[in-house]
Amino acid sequence: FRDRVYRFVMVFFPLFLQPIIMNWMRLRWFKRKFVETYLQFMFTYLFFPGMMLWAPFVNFRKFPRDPTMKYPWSKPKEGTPLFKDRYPPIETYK
Amino acid sequence: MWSAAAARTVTPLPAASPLQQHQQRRGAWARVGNGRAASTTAARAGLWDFVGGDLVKPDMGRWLDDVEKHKSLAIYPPHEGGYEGRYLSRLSYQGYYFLDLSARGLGDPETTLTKIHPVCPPSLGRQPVARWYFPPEVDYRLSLLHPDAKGLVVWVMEAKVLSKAELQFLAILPDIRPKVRVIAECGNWRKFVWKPLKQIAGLEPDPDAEE
Repeated sequence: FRDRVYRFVMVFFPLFLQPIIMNWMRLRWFKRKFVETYLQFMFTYLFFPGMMLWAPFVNFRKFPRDPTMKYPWSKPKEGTPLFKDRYPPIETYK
Repeated sequence: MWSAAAARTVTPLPAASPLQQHQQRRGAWARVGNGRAASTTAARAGLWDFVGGDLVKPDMGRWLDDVEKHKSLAIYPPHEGGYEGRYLSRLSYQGYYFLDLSARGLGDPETTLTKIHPVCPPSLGRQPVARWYFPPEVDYRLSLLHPDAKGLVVWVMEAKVLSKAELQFLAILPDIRPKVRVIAECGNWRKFVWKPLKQIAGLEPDPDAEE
């Protein structure tokens, strides 16, 4: 019974936990602090085979400045800001 | 506090508009103290926007068909580059040869590509101002192609700096020279997409045009 549980863990953890970990890194990459960075590196190290399995099928590039643009030749809406901030807004530091 | 911040869950969908995104970010930062999860409005991007990468989309057949059919394409590779190389390799296997040009410093595309054009090199110090004449870029390379070659692909890098009139000339260049194909990198996108250059340059009606 213990061998069966271990086999289940070996098979399914890389397949199902890795998208959650990668999405967590996508959402928090420019907002994380020390402890969260430590945890992200820890999970990357632990689940690295799953990360290599999933990496060719995932596209986490940034969305355009106007998120409603459907094509690269579409025209952005009128109130779109000129540059997209990568970091949290600066007025929260004041 | 840090473990609470790390354990906070946010839905993966980005905000629908920049204003909501801005407010959402400020709200999320204002709520750092309490452990409540930040709420996110439902957004346009679905799960399919995150599927991509190197092995997902086998579209080489469509790429070769579109190059044969439209003869001049506008491509939008990802910002970091690298993806256009596999599409270029497929054209190379087909028997095409390449003329790589940068749109910056191209001058007049019609004169540079199809006519004998002057080039004035910089005069360094006490030198007379020279003026050299070069053969047409496209016609010279077409004359050097061996008879079994399929054609010449003019790969224009940084074509986002070209005006609409210049893009229109690049779009009609395969009509002037039948063995020429034009690939213009007209911008960037988060996956590799392409479109007929005549629709981008306004010579044909665009079926994807909005409003």
